[in-house]
Amino acid sequence: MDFSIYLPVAGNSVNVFLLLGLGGLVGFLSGLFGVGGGFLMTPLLIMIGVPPTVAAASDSNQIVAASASGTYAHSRAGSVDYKMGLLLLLGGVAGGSVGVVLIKFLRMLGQADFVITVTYVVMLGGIGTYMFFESLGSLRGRKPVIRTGDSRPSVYARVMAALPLKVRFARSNIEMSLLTPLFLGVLVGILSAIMGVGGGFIMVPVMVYLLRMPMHVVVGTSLFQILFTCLNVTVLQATVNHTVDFVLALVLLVGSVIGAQVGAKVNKRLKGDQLKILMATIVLVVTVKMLLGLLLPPDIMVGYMGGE
Amino acid sequence: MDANTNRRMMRLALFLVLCAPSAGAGADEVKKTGLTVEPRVVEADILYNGADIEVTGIVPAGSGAAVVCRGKDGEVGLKQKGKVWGVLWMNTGEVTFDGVPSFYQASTSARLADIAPADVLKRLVIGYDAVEAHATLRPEGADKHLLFTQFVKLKESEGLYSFDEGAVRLEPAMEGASRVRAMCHLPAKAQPGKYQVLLFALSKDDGKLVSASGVTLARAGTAAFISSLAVNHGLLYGVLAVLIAVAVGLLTGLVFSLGSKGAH
Repeated sequence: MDFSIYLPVAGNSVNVFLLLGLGGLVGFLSGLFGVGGGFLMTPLLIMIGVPPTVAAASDSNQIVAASASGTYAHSRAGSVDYKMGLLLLLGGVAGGSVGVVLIKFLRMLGQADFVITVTYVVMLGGIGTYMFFESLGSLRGRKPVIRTGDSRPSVYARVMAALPLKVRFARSNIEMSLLTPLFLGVLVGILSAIMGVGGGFIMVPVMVYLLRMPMHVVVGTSLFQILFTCLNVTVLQATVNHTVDFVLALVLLVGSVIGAQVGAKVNKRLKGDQLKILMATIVLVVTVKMLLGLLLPPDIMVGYMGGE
Repeated sequence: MDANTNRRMMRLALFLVLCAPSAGAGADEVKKTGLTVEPRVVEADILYNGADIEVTGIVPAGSGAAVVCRGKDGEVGLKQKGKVWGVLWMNTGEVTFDGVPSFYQASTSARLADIAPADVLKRLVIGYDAVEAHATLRPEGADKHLLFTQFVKLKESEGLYSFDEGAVRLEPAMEGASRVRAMCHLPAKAQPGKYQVLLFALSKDDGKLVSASGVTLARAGTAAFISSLAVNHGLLYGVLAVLIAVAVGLLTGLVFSLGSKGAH
């Protein structure tokens, strides 16, 4: 029996179990690390024959379900910092708009592909390597450098301390200027728009290393922010580009919501450093795959225009 | 064509006229084109995964045959990959082919070079070389043959182009004619629209189009409804898509939380 399903917007048919498996895997990672998984799912969908524009838009649709499911699970566990999430979201929407204009300008100059590829490799490689070695050090028992009152704080810490409009984020147990998450949200938004992804895998390290949020709150808050980002992207893509394939999204999301719940349960059993090193490994594997794609000669020397 | 072949063609035409009225439902088609295509309409619903099209026709005995299934000619923009800084393989330029079919499947009864001369194949657009000859490339000066070869590889990887020498079967039908049997495969990736099915009779020194028919591929049922909603009512479609996604996400979250309560 043929277990294929026809995707009416993508205009192709794909094996149902393959899609369920992909959804489950990416949903698991979403629940485990608080990432949307777009940076994994979109290339995988393209590999199985879904047009790139449809892959990215439909992936946003399924991330809505996975992140709603994950946010619900983390919300019940009290690990969502809504105040921080809203500020990051506001910044992300503004940054996303700037990023869209920027990428349009780069396309006019004919440099968009180069900038996108380099941004991907640098961001993924940089974040992955830093997280990997930092977590490895912690797991090996190397104590993190604790700044005492006697030592001189870093430039970053001094800038943070000097910023006005201080607010307490009770759930994260930190106090900082509300300008910090807004500004960092803008930066992540710009990068997300350039790279065409939800930005969870950039947002998580930003929350951990720059906002200094505890890891268990990071995952839930990241999912909360991703939920609204992808909700907005899905409606926009459906209205402007007509590239959301709901049949594709539905099969993926059935797998991903279950995967997200399993991921959220596993998340509670792992330590922060274990989570970080696992995520860093996945990010580095994706980086190596991208690098190989850049360094090895392709099988076919042409691709469709508008297919990147 | 030689005198022998011409006589056979006359007999074939006479046979078609005589047998057409008694041939039942497909008689009109045979009368007009001498070609039957089954099915003539392919409906792509939610379980659609491509379709095989059975092609039967008649050619003069002794001649070779080619069956070509093709989509509409059009323009295709391509990104050309090349090395940047001598290390990185990236998109380095853009080219456009004009006059290339969206879908092209050709099959012949024998090796193409053995059954018809190159100029005839070019005129009848049979084979990749002929398709390339009819295509134009912008910008001028780019390596057309190299790029067309890569374009064909790209199309073949999607199942949209194929060329199969020897896949057409010839069977004796009656005096002076051979029955042609061939298959066209419309892959799931073929876009909805009309596809031509062409039957050619080929000889050592000439060739001609014997008959032509068509296949229509159309979305149907749930697939047609979703596709139409996505294109014609984008905002409603987008809102419904996210509402369903949120509902499924929350429902699963609720089910799992109830499950974990029961476990404790």
